[in-house]
Amino acid sequence: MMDMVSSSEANNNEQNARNPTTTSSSSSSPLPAVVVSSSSSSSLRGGETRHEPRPLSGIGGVGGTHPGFMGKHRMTAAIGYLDQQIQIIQDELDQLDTLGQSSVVCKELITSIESVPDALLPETKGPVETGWDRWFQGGHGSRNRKKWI
Amino acid sequence: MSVAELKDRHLAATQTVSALRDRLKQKRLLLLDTDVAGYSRSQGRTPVSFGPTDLVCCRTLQGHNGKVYSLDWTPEKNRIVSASQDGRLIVWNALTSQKTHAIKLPCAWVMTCAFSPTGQSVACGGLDSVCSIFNLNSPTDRDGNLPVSKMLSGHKGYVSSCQYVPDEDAHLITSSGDQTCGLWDITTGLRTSVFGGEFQSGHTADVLSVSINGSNSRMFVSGSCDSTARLWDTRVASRAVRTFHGHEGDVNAVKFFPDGNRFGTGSDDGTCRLFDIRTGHQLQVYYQQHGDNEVPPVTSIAFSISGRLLFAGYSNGDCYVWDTLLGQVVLNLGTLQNSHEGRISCLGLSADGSALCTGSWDSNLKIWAFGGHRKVI
Repeated sequence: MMDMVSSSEANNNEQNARNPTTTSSSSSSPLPAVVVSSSSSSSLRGGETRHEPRPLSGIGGVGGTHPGFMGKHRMTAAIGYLDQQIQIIQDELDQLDTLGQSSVVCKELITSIESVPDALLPETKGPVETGWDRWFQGGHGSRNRKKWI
Repeated sequence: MSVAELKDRHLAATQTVSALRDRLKQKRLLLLDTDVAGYSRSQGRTPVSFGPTDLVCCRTLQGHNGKVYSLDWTPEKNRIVSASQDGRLIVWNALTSQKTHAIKLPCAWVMTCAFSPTGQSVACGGLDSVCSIFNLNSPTDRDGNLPVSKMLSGHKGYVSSCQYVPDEDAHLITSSGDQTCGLWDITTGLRTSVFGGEFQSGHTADVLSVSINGSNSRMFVSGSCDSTARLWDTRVASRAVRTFHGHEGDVNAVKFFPDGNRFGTGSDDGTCRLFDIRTGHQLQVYYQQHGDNEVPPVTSIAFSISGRLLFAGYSNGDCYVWDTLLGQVVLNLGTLQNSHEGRISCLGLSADGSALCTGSWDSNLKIWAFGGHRKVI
């Protein structure tokens, strides 16, 4: 918990980062300088952008790579933030005493889903809108006429 | 107080937060007496069953010269705006496959685009940290380019996602690599509110995605590299209404459920999840082995208009159609005839729910619709 920034494991960068050098765009706009969060490698969505390291919000500097990096003011602010988090979580814990179980919500969910006509389902509540079939009409395809059962 | 004493206080507070979070997690688990799949089965629901030619690709929109990163439908009719690595936005009539606008962007590194509610403007953002607005009715300049009608500046990091507030063209919400979301007044070009930021109770890493509640446009949800999703009330920027834990990787995509009381997420951990906004419960995890022991990240999600189907694009080219009630994959658009040849990076449903558009790194967009026999109950 010392690092309150992303706890996500490092992901394969190549999958997520875009490589601007492969673009076929004829635009000559220069690669802008971007402040990229240093929280996780997978957050580097801009590919080869310039990376301005920023202090990890709150906790990172304490006992981290730069002991004593955070000054007193900053640390006081970090403690204030943590105290606020404590209050928020405590409030949520108290609130849980009044909340129903998930089965109540699941029941609502089924009712909600089954009350809406859905063009993409093989079986659905009506009414059916005439516009649903426009994707198969005119000269744009040779679908047979569908039958309503 | 000395630095040493402050450090001790800091450490103690951090440990308290950690302990409380664990207690919260345990207490929540006790309230999860069932998930959606378990409950639905107990109520006799059976999975949606698609015939082999039910969901078909009925259009392929070709025109981009690079990966498609983002797409958005108009709230009315059949138009789509898409953004690509080729540095262009294209506005399409999806029904006729015609391109009505091809907008060359001042900054080629675009990541997101959105259509305004009236369909008169489009917005986009990316590595320039700015959200640019284009009025589609403006005259083009000397070079035939549509001029930028407004630039929304203020983010200190890339703009990952943007969405217009429904029913008005005047406000927009953005998410950014600077760990904040923003609410903007497009008329003045000013940022009305900042959601999050250092030592604010917001995200603690890049924010990748936003989704505004269609039933209550004052609420929106954001997804972040900090593995959480957060619910916000636009009237209260100082702290998130609720934080949703559960994912074990970046939350790449968030989308409100059609009834506005729940939302879905897609993550680098390979799962999609369904959360309830009023109770905070995690209602369902959607995960299935893809084969070869791979766990590809989820890149994008969309719900069908009733919410019964959850479409999820994955980085390996799969596009699973989940039955949200039974928690099962009922179709894989990625293996159908005529499917994309690359990763599906974005998905969106038409306003009337009759068609799904997918955008891919193969530079195409495809439109999918139901062409089989439909039973009306």
